Amino acid sequence: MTSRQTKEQIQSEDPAEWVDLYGDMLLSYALSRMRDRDIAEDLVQETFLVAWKSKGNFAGRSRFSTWLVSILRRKIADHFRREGSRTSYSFDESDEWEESEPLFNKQGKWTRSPKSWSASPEKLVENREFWTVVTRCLGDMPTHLAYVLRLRELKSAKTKDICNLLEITSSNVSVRLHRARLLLRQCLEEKWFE
Amino acid sequence: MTCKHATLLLSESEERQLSSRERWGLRFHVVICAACRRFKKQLQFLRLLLSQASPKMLAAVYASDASLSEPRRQEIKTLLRRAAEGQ
Repeated sequence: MTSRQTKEQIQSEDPAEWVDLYGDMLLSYALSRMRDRDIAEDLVQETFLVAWKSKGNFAGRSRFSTWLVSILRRKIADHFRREGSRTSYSFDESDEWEESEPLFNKQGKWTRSPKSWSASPEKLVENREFWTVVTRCLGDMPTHLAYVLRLRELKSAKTKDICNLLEITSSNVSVRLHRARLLLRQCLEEKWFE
Repeated sequence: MTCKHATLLLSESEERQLSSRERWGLRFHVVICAACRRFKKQLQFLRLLLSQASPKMLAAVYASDASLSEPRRQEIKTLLRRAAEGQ
């Protein structure tokens, strides 16, 4: 099997073989964007089924794996769009902050003041353990928050593009980002900087 | 201005231009509040760090745990074979 397959090869192949060839690659892509393994596997499954149905559209100009990832990417975006509307998060300040351990008290003051971090960014960039903690922190927060933060900070997506992708307003994006940044900050302080 | 509001503006200043009223309010709050000063620094620190994350590093972190479960692998194969037969 060559890495670049022709249209004809794809058409005649046993699609079950795709699962062994590309399944793990697709799953790791999905898991880099969401924590829930079951949902990630569901989306990989859907991706293969869509790929099978629309294999006639694969033009052979790109790698087959790239084409699969493009389908998966759409599935992931659809998932977060659905999730966002189903849970219909209210961006009302009042219930935005309801949680077991609020970050701010009723007067709007920090319940636990941020601590001072002593670390150099240059060293952390290369530290695999640190990134493991970062991805765990992202995984621990609600997925719709982590997704927006990933797009904005890891992928340097523009706010406007995130609005379009998720079909939400820019103030919703801002609120989600704010929330996500607070949670990431707190998580890293507890799990890394302390 | 409360700390809660200040953190919102600090975060939002990365998404949009704050109004001059917001900017001044924020500047004043940060001068008098050590906790929010620290938060501001950490926000910049995180932003810098995340923007420098290497895709290779992240891929390695994720890949250490990314392989389809066996039942799922078989399930997808079965579904695909069924789809292929129904063609």
